[in-house]
Amino acid sequence: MTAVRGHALPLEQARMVEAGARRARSRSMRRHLLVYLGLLPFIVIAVFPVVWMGITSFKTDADLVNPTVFPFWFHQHPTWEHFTYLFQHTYYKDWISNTMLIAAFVSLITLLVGVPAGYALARVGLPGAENMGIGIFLGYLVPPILLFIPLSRVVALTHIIDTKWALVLVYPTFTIPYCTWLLSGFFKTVPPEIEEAAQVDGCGRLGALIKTVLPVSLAGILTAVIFAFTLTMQDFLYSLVYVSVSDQKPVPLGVATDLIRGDVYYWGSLMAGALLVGVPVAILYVFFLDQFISGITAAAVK
Amino acid sequence: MSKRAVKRSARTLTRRGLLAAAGAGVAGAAASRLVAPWTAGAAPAQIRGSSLRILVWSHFVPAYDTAFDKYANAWGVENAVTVRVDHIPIDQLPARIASELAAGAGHDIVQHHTQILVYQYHQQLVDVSDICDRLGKAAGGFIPMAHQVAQVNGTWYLVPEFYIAQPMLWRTDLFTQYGLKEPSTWDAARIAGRTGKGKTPKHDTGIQISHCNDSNHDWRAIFYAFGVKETDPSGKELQWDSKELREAMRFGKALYDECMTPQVLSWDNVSDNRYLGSGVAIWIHDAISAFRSIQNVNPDLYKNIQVAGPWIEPKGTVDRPTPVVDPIAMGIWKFSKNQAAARAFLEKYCADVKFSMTESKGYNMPMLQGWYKKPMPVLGTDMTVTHLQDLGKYALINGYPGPFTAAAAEVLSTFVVPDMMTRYVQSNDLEGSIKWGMGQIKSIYAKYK
Amino acid sequence: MPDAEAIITRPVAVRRRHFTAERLRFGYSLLAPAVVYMGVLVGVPFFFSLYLALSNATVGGTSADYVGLSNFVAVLQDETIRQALRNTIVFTVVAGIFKGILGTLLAFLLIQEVRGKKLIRSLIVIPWTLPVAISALAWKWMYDPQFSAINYVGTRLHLIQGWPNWLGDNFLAPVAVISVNVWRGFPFAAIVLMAGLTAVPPELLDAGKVDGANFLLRYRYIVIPVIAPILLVGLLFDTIFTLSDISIVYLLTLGGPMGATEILPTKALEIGIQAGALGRGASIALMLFPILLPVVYVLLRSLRRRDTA
Repeated sequence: MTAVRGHALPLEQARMVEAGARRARSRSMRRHLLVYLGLLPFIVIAVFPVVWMGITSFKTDADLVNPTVFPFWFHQHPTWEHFTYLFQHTYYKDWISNTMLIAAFVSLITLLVGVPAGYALARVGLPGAENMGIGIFLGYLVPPILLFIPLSRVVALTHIIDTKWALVLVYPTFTIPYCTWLLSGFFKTVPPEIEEAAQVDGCGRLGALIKTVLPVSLAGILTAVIFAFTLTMQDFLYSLVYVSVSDQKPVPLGVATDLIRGDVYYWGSLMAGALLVGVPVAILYVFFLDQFISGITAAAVK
Repeated sequence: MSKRAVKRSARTLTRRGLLAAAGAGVAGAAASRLVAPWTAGAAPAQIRGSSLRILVWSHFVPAYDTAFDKYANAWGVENAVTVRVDHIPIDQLPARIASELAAGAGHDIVQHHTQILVYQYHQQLVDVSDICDRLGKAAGGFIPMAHQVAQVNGTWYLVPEFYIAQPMLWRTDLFTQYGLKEPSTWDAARIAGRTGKGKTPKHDTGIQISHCNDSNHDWRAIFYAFGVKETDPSGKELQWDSKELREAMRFGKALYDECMTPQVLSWDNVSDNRYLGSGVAIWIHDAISAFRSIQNVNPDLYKNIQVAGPWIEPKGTVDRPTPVVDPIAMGIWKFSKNQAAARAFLEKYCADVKFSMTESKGYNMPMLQGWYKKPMPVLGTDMTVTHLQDLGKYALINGYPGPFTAAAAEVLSTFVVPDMMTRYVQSNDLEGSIKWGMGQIKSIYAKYK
Repeated sequence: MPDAEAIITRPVAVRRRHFTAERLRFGYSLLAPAVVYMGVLVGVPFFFSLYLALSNATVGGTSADYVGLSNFVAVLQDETIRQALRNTIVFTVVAGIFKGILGTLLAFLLIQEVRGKKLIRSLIVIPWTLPVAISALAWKWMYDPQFSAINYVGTRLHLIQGWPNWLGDNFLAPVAVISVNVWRGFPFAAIVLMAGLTAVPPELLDAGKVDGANFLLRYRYIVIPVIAPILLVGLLFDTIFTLSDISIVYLLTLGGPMGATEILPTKALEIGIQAGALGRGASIALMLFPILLPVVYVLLRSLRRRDTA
């Protein structure tokens, strides 16, 4: 019996384990299916226009304005012509490099200004700091439509109007409030012992700042950079009024102004131009989404 | 120089070619006088080494942008001036202008478009009367409308460049097929639209009743044809509220009910072009760029389209054609540091009507009277658009018969007329719609008293 | 959580007592760049535009005379501007509600561990990363009265009856405008809410389960209090963006039909820039502030609570 039981037990166990695994598998499959089903409408909503944009960017013009055929498929051969047009007959390459450059410098300025400010708001405990923090934040509330006229004069004083540097100067006005607030949240999550230990070690205040900032710098920098990129892509009015020179424009403005010629819309190139920058940023988001989320969480909860 | 050679040189834009084209373009004595101020008067010695920045729209005939850039650069090379031309879409010019004025920096020459606020901007614009006088003297003066566009109290602040005709574009094949009369009157146009709408497949028509520029001036063209006056000739006393307005609106509603697709309620400036281009519309009332783009895409359709007729513009009850056009003029900002170069360029370019008309394929209509001698460039040889040659003396602008004041501009930019029409076609309440519209217009004018 | 806050903030409070001038200087010099940057590029222009709103400035004018509150009086008497004000509020609130609902549902789904999570997330986040000006153009083409892809697909799937004129109908045009705003905003709402949901400590949820709290109760008493501040902040940023964004309306309808989609920023553009009445334009744009004030109030309170908790 014992021997038999000794044999039977592992067998039975194995069977049970297997059944359990199967149950778990089927449970996981059911869960997967449910989640996928739930996500499906969202994906359709999000992607429907994007797919349409993608198809448009490969369609010939004649195919595009044919009202009698299914708009979501090709009725003439797909074409690269809109992409070649974009790269050979417009300043698209410049627009991309401008956008990257603007975003990079905007991130840099935002960090240079936002890190100390965020630290001061979070850790120094200054009297009146709170009101200053609010003051900085209020800057975000002023709508560009109100600001762009008087701001023109300020921008003109710097003699960089009509260059991409004008946008490098102006865009931090909406990234600084956001990122200062985010970063101050980050800094509050760092245990004060680190900072105090640094001061005891004779690092001085600046050293303490660096010691506090370093542990969170990666998430903070990523968050700021991602925001700078996103917001650089969302602006239209500032770039429109401050940059009229074609090779100085960022992508959204260049695409929307140089690819609409009167009543001729270069639809294919427009869509291609938008997707070529929008999709990489979306991928960037996914890579850093977890950092991003922890950044928001820290900032809001702390 | 043979005609062909002139054409070719204008296209390749060699330095000598440009001058030759400008010179050879005008018939008779006008020719030598046209070049005279340039070669004799404004000798641009002092502008050498300066720079010039020009802001213009993205032309509705895209090839013109390329030609204009080449033209400006060639001029720059010739005069040792660094020239840079920027193009932005027409709708975005006002925001850019406002920003440049607030900044006190930007371009030297800016193109003013359609809603030309010369009454407001003139304090910031350089007096260009000398240029306009010379241009006018050389070419028989400016057409009447140009004075309203570019002058304040007799002083020229802008140099009139060209205007955009907004004529009838109609399908000769369908008109013949249905046995219709030419749309020489709005009644004939209405009958044509009604007939087309009743056929299978449908060939109806449309005029925008929506927030867009075309809607503003198309309805004005109809209103003026029925005798509506916006103000007295001084532009101060309102004359909108009239029995003519009621008649015009009743007609407009009938036009909408009988002839139009309800899509017009969401059309933008381009939608009617597409409606014609897709082969549906029996006629549309819009700029000729609509059919220039058809020329490239659908040549079969293109050859069945006629632009206007000897009658120029459909008539209503008033005994003259009342075409409403979009004027374009160029000005020099007072803050410009390169005014000498800017003046020299403007004088050269705005005299060069031949270049303007040829490269825009007849889209740019001359502001100078002398250029209406037949045959005009392009229009004289292209039978489809040939009737536009008589447009000059009839052309009107928004605000008629007054000048285009700031108040008239606000009536335009807040889309009061399209909204009044929308109200009427949706509610069928004529007096209510007019009461609303007149309320809007009155309160706008009150703000500028 | 409150305990953690106390631990972190206590030493600060202790330190506060021995403030030295040197420390003050250090602190203020850290804040200074941000204050100066915002002060020069936002503060100064803002006060200048306040002055514009009280003057008869025009785009081309060389002088601007003080006219008191008459611009605001004129603006408030204008029925079309009151309509724009109403639209602005309705758009923001309705779009906010939809983004909130869709974002919450989506966030619950996105935090599930499923295969292909990264791909799904990247697909869903695309609307948020595309330049809004260009996606608005794409939508305009999809709403086109003649070539509408939405109508084409919708009628064939029997989801839509007839051939709606999206941008020409007094009811559908606002719906169309709000839809574009929701479409581009809901991924961000979901990201913010994901952040909130990951902040809920699982122990708390487990404790709730042991106590027999059902899903709704757990949601009401455990999840909401934790995610509320995050939600608030997300809502705030989104509201500000929605309120001041001009491109969707500008590119889709220009405020038509009959002002059904007119919002304050487009109205400010029409009157202040296109017609050149700079002063009146500024006063219209300033009307956004009465709407922003409650938002600001909530923000100030939440900021203060963060520091005193």
